Amino acid sequence: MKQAAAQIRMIRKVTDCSNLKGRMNRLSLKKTLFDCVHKTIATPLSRQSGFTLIETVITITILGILSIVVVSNFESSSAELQKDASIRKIASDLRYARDMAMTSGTGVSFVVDQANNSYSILWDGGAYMKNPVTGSNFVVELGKREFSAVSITATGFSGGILNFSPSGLPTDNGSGFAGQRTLLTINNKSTISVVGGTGLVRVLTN
Amino acid sequence: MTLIELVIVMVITGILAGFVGKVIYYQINTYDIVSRRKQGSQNVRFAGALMAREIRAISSPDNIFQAMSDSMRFKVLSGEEISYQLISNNLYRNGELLAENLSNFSFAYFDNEGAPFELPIDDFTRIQRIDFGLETKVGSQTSQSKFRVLPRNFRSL
Repeated sequence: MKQAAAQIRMIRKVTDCSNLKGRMNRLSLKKTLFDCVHKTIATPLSRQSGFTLIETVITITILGILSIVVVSNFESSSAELQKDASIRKIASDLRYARDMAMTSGTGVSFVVDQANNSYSILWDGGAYMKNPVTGSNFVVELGKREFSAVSITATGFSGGILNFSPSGLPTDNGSGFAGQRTLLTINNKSTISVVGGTGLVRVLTN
Repeated sequence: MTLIELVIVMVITGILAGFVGKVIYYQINTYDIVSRRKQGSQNVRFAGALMAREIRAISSPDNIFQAMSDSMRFKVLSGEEISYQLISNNLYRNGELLAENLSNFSFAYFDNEGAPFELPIDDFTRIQRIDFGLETKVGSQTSQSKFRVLPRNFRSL
């Protein structure tokens, strides 16, 4: 049955093609018919190339999954990077306090306020040191803006106060200490420590 | 759309994503190197300044007890005895870590005519000048600080 239907369709095509004969002589009619039939056989009538709906859906689904994986990885890396940058900034501020104590020959205090999730740098006597970038009092509030990814979870000095003597060496309550002590714990993971007797600031991340 | 067209689009998108990813990676890597370099140079500068200040305060040439290329021990005016020693790329002050991961560190000692001493030195009282340098390495880049100290309590010979 299918073969018969195909033959009928082919004959119709041939008939259509034979309408061209008015423009041809008798000798070329045979060739024209041959070409026309050949072309009709070579070209399928009902098939068109392209994707099925299922293929398209599968492709879109795979692309979607890949996009979600890439975006979520990028977001988590970005958050880690922001946290890392914040911790480095805090350590850098601590070094700044130490360096200022030594270069100015004046005692400096680095005060950690765990309750308010902030820290500040003060001169000996209680006046705030000026932040060299902003020009305002050196008070940094964590958990906001560029520090949104970090919060203070522990302090290791009495009252959260680390003093630097005029020579730049760290003291706790006015007296030096031996070994390395943790000043800050960030997000229960990273610690910023100071080595007694030298003032070396170290950052450790678990 | 044919399969070939779709594959071409996906390949081009992949290549573009690769370029963008590479740019982001290099930016992050650059930030990391700059940040660690800054951290290293801050520590080295502070360590050097502290050492220079204390060496300058040596009470007299008689109060130098040890003078080697990687270590020094002396007494300052306040009476405090101070030692510096390099152990496995880490520099210690009185046994406490002062600077870590140094790629280079050494003391050099000079007499009153600026001539360097051969080590070990027989007579510490002839020392008039002490030079030292600290160097840290981050990636392929080095950060170096050099100091030249003339102890203020030494009488020029």
